[in-house]
Amino acid sequence: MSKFFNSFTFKIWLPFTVALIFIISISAWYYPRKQEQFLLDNKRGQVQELAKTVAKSYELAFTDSDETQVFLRVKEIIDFAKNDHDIDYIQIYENGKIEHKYSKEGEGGEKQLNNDAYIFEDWKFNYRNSDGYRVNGFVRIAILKAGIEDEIFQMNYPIYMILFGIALFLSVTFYLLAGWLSRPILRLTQSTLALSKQDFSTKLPEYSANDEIGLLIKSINELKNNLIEQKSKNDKFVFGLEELVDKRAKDLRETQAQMALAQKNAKFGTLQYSFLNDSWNSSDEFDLILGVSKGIKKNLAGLQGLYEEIDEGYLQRIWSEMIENKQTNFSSDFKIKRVSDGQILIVNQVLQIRFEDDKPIELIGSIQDITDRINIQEEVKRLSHVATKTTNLVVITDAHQNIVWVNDATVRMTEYSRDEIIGKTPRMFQFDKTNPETILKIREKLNKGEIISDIEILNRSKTGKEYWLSLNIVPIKDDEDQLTGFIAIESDLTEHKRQLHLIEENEKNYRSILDNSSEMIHSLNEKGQIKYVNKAWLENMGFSTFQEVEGKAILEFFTDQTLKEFSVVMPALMRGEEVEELSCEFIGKKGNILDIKGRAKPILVNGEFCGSEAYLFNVTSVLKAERELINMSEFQNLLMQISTEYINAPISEINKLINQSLEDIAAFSSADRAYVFRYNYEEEVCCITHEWVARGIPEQIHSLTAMPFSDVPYSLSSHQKGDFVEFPDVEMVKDKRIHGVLSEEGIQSLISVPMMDGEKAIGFIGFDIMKVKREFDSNEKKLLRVYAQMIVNVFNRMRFIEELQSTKEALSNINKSLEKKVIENTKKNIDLSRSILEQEKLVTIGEISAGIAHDLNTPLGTIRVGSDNVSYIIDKLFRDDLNDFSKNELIEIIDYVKKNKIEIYVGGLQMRKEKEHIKQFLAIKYPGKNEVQLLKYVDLFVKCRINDSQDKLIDKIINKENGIEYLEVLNQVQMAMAQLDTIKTSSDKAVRVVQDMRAFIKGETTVERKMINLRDNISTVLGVFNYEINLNVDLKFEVDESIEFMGYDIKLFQLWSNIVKNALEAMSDQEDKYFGIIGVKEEGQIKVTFENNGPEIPKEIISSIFNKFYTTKAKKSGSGLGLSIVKNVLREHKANINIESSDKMTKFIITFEI
Amino acid sequence: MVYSLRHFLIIVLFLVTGNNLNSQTNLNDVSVVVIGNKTGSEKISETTIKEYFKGKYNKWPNKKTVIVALASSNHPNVEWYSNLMFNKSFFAVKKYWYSLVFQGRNDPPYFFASDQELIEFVKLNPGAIAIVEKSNKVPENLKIKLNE
Repeated sequence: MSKFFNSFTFKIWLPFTVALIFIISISAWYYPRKQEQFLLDNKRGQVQELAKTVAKSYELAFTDSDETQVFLRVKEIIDFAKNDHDIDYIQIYENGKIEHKYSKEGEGGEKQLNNDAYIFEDWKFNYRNSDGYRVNGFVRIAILKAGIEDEIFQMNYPIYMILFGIALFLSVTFYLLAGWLSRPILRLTQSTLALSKQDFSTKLPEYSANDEIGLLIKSINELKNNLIEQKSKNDKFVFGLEELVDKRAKDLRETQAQMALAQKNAKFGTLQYSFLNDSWNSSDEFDLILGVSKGIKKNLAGLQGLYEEIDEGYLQRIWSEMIENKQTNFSSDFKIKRVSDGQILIVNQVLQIRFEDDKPIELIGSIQDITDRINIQEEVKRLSHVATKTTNLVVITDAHQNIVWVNDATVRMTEYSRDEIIGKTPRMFQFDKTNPETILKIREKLNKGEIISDIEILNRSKTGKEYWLSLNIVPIKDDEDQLTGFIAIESDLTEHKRQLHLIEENEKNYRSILDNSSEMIHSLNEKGQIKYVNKAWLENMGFSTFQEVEGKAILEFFTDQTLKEFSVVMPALMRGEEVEELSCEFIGKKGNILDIKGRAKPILVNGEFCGSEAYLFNVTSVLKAERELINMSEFQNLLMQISTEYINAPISEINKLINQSLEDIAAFSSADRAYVFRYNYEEEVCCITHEWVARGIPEQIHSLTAMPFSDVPYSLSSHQKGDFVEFPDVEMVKDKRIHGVLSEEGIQSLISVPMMDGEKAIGFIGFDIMKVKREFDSNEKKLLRVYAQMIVNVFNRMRFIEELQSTKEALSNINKSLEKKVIENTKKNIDLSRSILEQEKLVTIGEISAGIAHDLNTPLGTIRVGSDNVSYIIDKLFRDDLNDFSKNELIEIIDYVKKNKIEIYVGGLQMRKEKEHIKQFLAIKYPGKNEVQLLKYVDLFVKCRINDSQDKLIDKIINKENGIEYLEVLNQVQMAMAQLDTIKTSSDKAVRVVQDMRAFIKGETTVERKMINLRDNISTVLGVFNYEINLNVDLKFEVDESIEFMGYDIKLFQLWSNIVKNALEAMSDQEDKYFGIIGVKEEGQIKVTFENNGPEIPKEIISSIFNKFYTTKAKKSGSGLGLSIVKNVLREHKANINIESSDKMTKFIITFEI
Repeated sequence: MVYSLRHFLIIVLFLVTGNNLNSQTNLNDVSVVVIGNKTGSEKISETTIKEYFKGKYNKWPNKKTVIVALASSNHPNVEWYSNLMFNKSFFAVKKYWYSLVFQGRNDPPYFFASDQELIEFVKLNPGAIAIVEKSNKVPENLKIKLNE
């Protein structure tokens, strides 16, 4: 702020500004005055006009007849006056008095006419009143001056503001311009002031113009340079002088101090004796060394007395000899006795006598106490001997740690020569591997002058050999406690370090191996307490840190069973024996049981048992997986067996088989009750159709024969959706009704599987588990669903057969009526034989229709079951097994399976035989193999139909790592292939049945003689009767495939079908049925024998049976036409037939001539 | 002269005033009728209606603006009506109303030269009032009854 005001001192800008403000002020005063005058004049004119108007309107108000217009004009005038801010009032005077008045303030008091405040105008008027008198008066209008002034100000306000702005702008501009113009002078002034104070740092303004300021700057610049030069010379001189004085003074002080110190340190004293004056003086140190008393006389006698005392006059005698011999110098070490305390000292005495004209003038002597030095030298001599001879490295340095001496051991270790070592610091032995912290530590201690002991350091020799040293460094100090050097004694630790390192490495490796081992390893002390466990041990047992188990007795982790076994294992360990096959159970942290296998060995120290170590594997999951795998495999095999049985079983045994299968499945499911429920949607009830119960469990099959749907809403709705109903733990069931019902029966777990026929649930299979709680996994559920589907298929099959049988019965009835008709018609017209033949064919069709239907149903059922099985096998293979095999192995498996196809089912006895055989084979060939594993192989080899003749294959599989899995996959693929073959065969069979049927039906008109293959021809007929034959007949079909002859194939069908049909009917009432067809070609004949073990044909009727309408089955279905047809066909083929019948066998022997 | 003139004037003034007092007429008794358009005051006292004619009120009770219609100097009954309503000469009435308008207190009255013009004006302007002779045909709704 003060700077700002100071700037006003420079007045260049001020006159300009003052002049400007004066002009502007004049303008601001004059212009408004003129404005005001102008406005006032203008306003006066306006008001005068208004007064004139008012006067005129007033006259007219009383003279004009149009009063309305006059009054409206008056109102306009008053409205105008109201709107004009300047008009303050209007007055109408009549005869000098106010007659009317208008005032801006309303009806206020009388207005005081103040000429100063108002401007007013009058206008006269006159008129005649109603009485005819002239009335004179005037109108006065007054305007307030203040209003006009205000108006003028409002008008002039912007002009004032503009003028003010211009004034301000110009003032600032002048101010800045003045500042800019005066800047060089200002800076010049500042620089001059600085120079006067000898401040040469200020730079003069740069102004090159050749005007007055430029010249001024130039001259000041020259002045400045001269001043700088002078000052520099002056400073230099003064500085040099001061420096010299300081140095001299310092040198002097140092010399004095050093002298005193030197004398003191060196215990060096001086003596000066003047022969001329017979007086002597000595230094303090001289007095101190010799113990000179203060009262001694400072003459020759006093001196002689002193010498007498210290060395019995020996020195004095030398002195005398020197004078006598004119000897100037003498120097020798000898012992003296100090006067003050009688201490024996060794001193070095130097004497110098100055002669003039052979007369002694002056004696200058010095004496130095070298007692300590001599003693130290002796000591050093002894130490030096030790240092030289020791095997440790000895290094002596000065205070700056420069080596001054090393012993031989150091030279040997470092491999440097002494010359290379001396003068250098011990750092020459250190290198990049030397621990910098150790170096720092050593340095710190040395700097503090502390003793270093047992610091280990790694050094390197000249040839690069690394060696470890244990350092002991002692600082060497003089009497003044000043550090003079260090002595280091270093012992070689290299070998020791190497050994330690080896031990550490071994320890580390061993611990690392133990820690990273997948085995569970624990180490116990002699009391059986844990002293070490590895990571695998902790992880498997569920612990996180070793501290949790440290010191605990291992027995705490044993189950009761393992505790018992441990009573055998422990003594063995204590005897020093190793236990190889250790199998036990541990209890984990969370109380879980771990299956453990492994080995244990004792820890013996000097033959004494002091603990044990165990190397164990947690095989819990392996065993569990193994058990599950076996379980699943058995379950699967069981299902395969059941399906095979269902396929092959006659209908009469189906119910028995279902019950049996329920028992088998229940055994796998741990169920105590297994049952099949059927839903009857028409009556809305369900009932048990099959049941198996464990011993002691009550049956329900007789009580639950019609359970209303309303009792099982949950099951019904779930099953209708195709879902399982599953209660793994009945106690957890929230539905109180279901919980109550199941708990009452003692059921702990339950599962029921819907039996789906397409989209419809026709019932379900249920399993009640009462003794344990059980949950089924997804694989088990899949298998249960497969089983349920089997049952559905079986039910469908049964239903189909039932329908067929009813159809058969209906056909039989038709047959009977047909027969009746035939007989009637035959009686009427025996010539209608052809028609009868056709009828016979129909009869035959009717009779065999059930078989045909079966033959169609059987392959179709087989195809269905087979396709289900294949689907399951493929699913299992892709989910579980295939992942572990390479592509080559899989190709190998499929190639093998293609070449070695198997049957689906092998009887139990045969399988046991094969198992025994292969077991013996493997036991002999692989004696070292684990027996359990061999048994698994035996089982799988038999399943895969691999026998001992395939020893190379067996050897290859057994030597595989995953041999068992390989065989399992092989077996699965074989099974799938077998199922596919069965499907193929079944479909062929179905096609064949249809073809046979067609051939049989449509043959009558297109009969033509052609080459017949006997076996094929008979096979077609057997195909038609396949159902009955397969059902319960032991068939022997031995017809050579090469036998061919010319004949009518359709007629031969009739021939064979009648003979076969008769044979089967003949055996219908007996249990063991045998039927054989043997065809041979011999000596121009073809002989076909049909034999059965049916009842004997009485001899008396043999001759009649070929007669038309002769029948022994009249009450059943016989028409009596069959063998008659046979006879006709035989005749057409020129063949003969012979019948041999006994109680054991009946034979129809047909002979064709070729 | 001036003296005698002044006395004369006082006497005249006295006479006029006395005459006026005597001629204070009840409007119901004379053959005039007061007419008004939607004034909201079908029945009103004579005193009150006179005050309306004198510009004492600017609004009717129904908030309509009072419009006063008077006989002009050309109306044959101008002096009669002025005397009836204002008890003044027409010249005095004009002066009276000039004063009201000049002070800005009232809108000016309307002046008409015949009863018929007055009736027509009242008919066309709600809030308007006038006085006409009874002999004129005046719609009943325009007539204002005066209380006794």
